[in-house]
Amino acid sequence: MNTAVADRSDFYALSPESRRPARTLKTYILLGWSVETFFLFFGMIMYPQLHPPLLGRLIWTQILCGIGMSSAVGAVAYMAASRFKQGSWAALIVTGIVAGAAFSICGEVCYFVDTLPGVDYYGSHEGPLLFRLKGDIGGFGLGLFGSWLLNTKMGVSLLNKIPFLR
Amino acid sequence: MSAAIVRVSVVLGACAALINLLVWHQPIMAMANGHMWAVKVLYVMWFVLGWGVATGALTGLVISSMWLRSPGRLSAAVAFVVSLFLTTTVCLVLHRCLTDDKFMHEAMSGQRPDEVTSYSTIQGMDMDMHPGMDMDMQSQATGFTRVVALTPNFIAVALSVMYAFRHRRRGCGD
Repeated sequence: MNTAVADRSDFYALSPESRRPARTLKTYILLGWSVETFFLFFGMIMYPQLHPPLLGRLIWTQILCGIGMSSAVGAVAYMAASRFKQGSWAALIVTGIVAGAAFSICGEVCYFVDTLPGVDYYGSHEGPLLFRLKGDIGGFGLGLFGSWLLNTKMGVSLLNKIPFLR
Repeated sequence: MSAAIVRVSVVLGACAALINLLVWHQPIMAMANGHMWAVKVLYVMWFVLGWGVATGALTGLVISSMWLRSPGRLSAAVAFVVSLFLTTTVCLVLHRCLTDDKFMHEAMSGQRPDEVTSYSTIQGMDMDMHPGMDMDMQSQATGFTRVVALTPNFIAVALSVMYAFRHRRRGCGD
């Protein structure tokens, strides 16, 4: 698979394989944070009656879920697939499955916490199926999408358009 | 080399999380107590991912970025400080979630804390905690204080920085 090389303007020139760990982490952080932020606003719009003080929820969704858990997902996905060449079918499949499974674990724990008495983050009581679809299927799909971005020619060319992911 | 840095940081972070899980098993697992074993397994995986792998990954990302910019002591110091900041931030959020009912309400409940009459995030906990007890008192009651909980992660960050920059000085490049 062809991956782009570093620009002349870069302060260092590294092979795509050398940039792979940081790029994997940053890609999953960007994806996870974006989706978590979308869910935050989605929950506020769909379930306005559950709208709590925003600060606590912002801290939770942006720092722990958005940045923390997404970086963890990127790390386990990278470590699982690092033995395979970037762009290979094996790397594509292993990265996608491991990242998807890790996101799904987050989604399941989120659902479990949401069903505890007194807690209703958004929608686990009103629409449990939607909540689980979002967490499990959506999370797994996000893992696969990240792997597609990292391991296919079209995905890499898309990542190369984002400055901090080059 | 950046691959090795990320791997070492993640493994050290995961070890820090496992140490905390072993030492402070009761307060950490309190939320999953009384539930089926599958929930407990998922919860343990989630905790190790959040407390250990996430902080290790962020540490690895920062260290490898700084290591690529410059191999000097200043870079090592900056990497150490930034990694400590990120690790502390993530761990403190998680620690508050585990020990502070009020914060947990604000973060994950659909109701304001003062609207709830009977609630405890720390379900199944074998401790008699008063509703008005604040976060510091709760964590002190279990011994799971912020400084104690963060110590293994601080050590993991320091070891990661030492590994990366010592390696560089010996001339081991990519």
